[in-house]
Amino acid sequence: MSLPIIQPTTSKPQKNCCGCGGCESGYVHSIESMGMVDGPGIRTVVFLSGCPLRCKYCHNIDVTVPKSGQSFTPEELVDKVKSNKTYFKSSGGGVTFSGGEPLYQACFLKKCLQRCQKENIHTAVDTSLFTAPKNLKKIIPYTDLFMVSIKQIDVEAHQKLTGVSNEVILKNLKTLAQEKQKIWIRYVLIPEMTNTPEYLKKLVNILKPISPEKIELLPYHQAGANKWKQIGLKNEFEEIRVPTKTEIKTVVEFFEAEKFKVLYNS
Amino acid sequence: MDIINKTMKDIFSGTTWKQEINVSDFIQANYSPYLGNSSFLVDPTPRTIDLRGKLETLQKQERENGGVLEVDVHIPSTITSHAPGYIDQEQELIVGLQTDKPLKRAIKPRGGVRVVEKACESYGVELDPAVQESFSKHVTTHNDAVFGLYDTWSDFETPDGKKLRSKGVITGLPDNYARGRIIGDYRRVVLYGVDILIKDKHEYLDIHCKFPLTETMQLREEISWQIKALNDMKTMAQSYGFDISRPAENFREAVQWLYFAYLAAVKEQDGAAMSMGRIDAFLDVYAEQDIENDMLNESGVQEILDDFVIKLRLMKHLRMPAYNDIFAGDPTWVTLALGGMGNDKRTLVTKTTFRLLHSLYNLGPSPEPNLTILWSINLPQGFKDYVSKVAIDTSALQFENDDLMQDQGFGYDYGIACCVSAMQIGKQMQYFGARCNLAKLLLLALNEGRDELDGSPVIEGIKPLKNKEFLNYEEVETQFEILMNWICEKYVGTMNLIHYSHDRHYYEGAQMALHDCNVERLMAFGIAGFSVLVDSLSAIKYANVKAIRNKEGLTENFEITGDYPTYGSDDDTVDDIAIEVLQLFYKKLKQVPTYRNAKHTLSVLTITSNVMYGNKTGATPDGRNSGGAFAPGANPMHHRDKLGAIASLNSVSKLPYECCTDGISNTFSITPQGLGKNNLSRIQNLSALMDGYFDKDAHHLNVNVLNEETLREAMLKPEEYSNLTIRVSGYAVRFVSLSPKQQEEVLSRTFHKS
Repeated sequence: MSLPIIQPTTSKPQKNCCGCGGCESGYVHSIESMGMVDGPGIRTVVFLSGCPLRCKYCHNIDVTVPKSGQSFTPEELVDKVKSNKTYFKSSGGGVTFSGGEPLYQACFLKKCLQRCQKENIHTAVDTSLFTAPKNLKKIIPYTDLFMVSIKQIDVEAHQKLTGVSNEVILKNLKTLAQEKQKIWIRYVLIPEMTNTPEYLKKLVNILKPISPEKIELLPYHQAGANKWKQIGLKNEFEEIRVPTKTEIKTVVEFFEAEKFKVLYNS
Repeated sequence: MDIINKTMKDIFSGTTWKQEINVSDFIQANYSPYLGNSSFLVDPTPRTIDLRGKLETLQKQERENGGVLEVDVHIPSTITSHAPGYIDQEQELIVGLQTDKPLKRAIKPRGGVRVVEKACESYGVELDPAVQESFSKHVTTHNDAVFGLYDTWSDFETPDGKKLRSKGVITGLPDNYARGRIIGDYRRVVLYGVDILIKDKHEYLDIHCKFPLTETMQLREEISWQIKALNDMKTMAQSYGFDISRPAENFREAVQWLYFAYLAAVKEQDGAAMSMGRIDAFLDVYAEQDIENDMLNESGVQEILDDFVIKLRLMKHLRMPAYNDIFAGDPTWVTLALGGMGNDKRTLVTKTTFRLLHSLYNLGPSPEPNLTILWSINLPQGFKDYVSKVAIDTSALQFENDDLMQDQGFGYDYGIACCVSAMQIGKQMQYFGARCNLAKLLLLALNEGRDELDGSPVIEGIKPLKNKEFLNYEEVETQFEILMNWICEKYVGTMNLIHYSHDRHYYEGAQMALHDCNVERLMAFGIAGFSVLVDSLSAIKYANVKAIRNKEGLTENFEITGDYPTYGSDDDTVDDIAIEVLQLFYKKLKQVPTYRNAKHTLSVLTITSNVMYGNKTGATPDGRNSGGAFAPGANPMHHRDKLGAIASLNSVSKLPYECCTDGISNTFSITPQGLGKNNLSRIQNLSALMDGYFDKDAHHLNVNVLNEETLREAMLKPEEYSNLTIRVSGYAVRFVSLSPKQQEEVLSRTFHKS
């Protein structure tokens, strides 16, 4: 059995709401108060529940369940984040909204970002960009850094890997570039599925005009596999191997040769 | 009037230190802060490498021999008891051993001869019967004196005639071992030479100690012991061919004089913690002087310091195996405070601070000396990043908040005793007081003053709870306060009689000689089971807690219905309980008078006794099972800190240092991957983490950077991981030297990941 693509929430959206129904409160799967690998410096990472993608290698599958976790008002949530300000100051860190897909609760996300900015907290959004362009535009003014997770660059392969097309993603990516937003690209290296020369070349062609500040390469790992079992799903990727060090090095060198600044675990 | 001779006066600047004993004034007037990075540091010399090899061979032999290489069962240790000993006389730049052979442990029966007997027995040797007889028949040991007092004082007994100390409520008491925690100002011997120090003692007595009354006689008696110790120091140094009656005149002499002073202390005493104090900026004055005069180069300076550190690593005491339950891994707490800031905005970080840390590379990681970084937001970035690198590479450092300790009145020339206890060097001493098990105290409150495990009465007159089954917060709180009143009186009383006995029968002549005559005394109380207590109170307050009682009505278990906030989640609703408990306990301690009017201080520190205390404590209302380990020190309970490390650090940083000036210990483990994507970002993140944490007025952090898998592997193949060092609770140990139970407890702790 696989999880069906989740439709936007059926609860009655409030006026001006994107449909997430979360203008007053939103669902937080969990909070990691010490994130050191999700953006610059020491970050509080807020995992918002719900995701419209069904990536076969998802390592946070439990977070994709909408309306799971704890409900917070933007004020309550930002109060929790605020408590870590001394760490943001000393490290150049801040808050990262991740998920799931944080834009799945776009109105709630926007309100949280707005509040963080008022508190002078650096804001990053870790997103697939699979969202309606109007949702993205809502948060642009309040987001200091977009961490865009590109799952696949090829349309068909993207559909196969995530269950959705990447057309809107590429469109949104262009918008970010046009709006001169600061972008980090995150790309998961999966042997044979995302790290083939063909895909990588295609990716580079798309990214060149976007000129992201950094490309973060995330080697596929199996740490999230258990979570699938825990919520009663079968993970088709159980058999997929993790990339070797040589494979990772090849990709790093490839991007560096193309003059990208590459971030990876070493 | 100048107290020092002409040569020293001309070499070094300053005025006050030349007129009175004042080492910190000398430092301020002569040291050079170092603002750079670690690039000047040098590799070990062939001589150091050779000595390191000999050290490692000895340590390996010791491990293979069951933890102790050799015991001298004949000669009770004193400053002058043993002939000179060497590792390799030709090679050593700094000399001196506790006995005539490296790692040959000495007996110190003045603390208690039975303990020494048992220790000998457990290592397969027999205490010399002549020593046994003389110390049991003709000498009153510290242990004899304390038990003499216990035996005649029913106040320190339970209603059924047992000793209160056996009940596991106040425990780890220094009544059968030396109290330690006293830091001599060993630098005084270097700067002034012993003769001036003796002269100074006499002068003080002439002026301040006139007519014979109890107090003046006690002081005169103690100072006479101090003067004897100073003379013995000279004799000991003489046996190695050195004259320490005069000041040291160069760097090598400075290190040698300093070490002799310390060696005298550890030959005389086997205190639980025998800390070194603060020597980095002081020694740096001599090092830079010699470098400037072309007497030494960088390699020469490093070589002398490495040799000194080898000596500190060889320092050992003879302990009973039971001692391992509370202080696991054979620690000696040669705590060395490094860095910090001066009183004039200049940092006290010097090149020698770097050099001492660099010994962890030149000699390999090691738990001792217990390297303690005095962290200030204002430390130079080069130093911050270097110590972060060292912590990541070795897991051998602890960090303490210099800004906070200075604000609390410790000045800028304080040291750290044991793990987290600040003291002004040479001006304050402490009476160490082990700890009170607050989780057990809570259970006494729920069980009418009976021990929850065997039903035996510990205190009389405690009424049963009205709500025996479903616990009511207000009622439990009131009952607990009654128990707190009772235990504080017993606790302070017990400490008073222990330290009265220790002062009279096992006085630290050498260490106290290196203090001012009018020393300020602190009495350092402690608590254990802190997070268990706080979570238990939170559960009773915010959830429904049902006590499951056995036939005798004793609590066996607790059923919790509903959620409750746990300490370690940065949630004020429960963190406020934590703060109140500390404030209340400290207030109640202060109401009970202390021996010699010592100032009450309090710590939240367990060493490794959190496992043993937990073992002796029944199930608690927070859901912890009977016998389950407590979290160490002020740590939140394992795996209840659901919001990650910083939320956990935030909860701990709220604890009020002003009522816990003996220290608030927090131990933190993180995987390298969790700390950042590459070495550079790991270093930056760790420095920033420390800044962020201490900016919130937190006091202490032990930092371990390692993977659980490494520890699991080390449990399986200990011989391959003999040097794997981890920080446990205010000190470091070789992981493989912990008991399997303690190893499991370390592994059960939260490892913060990415």
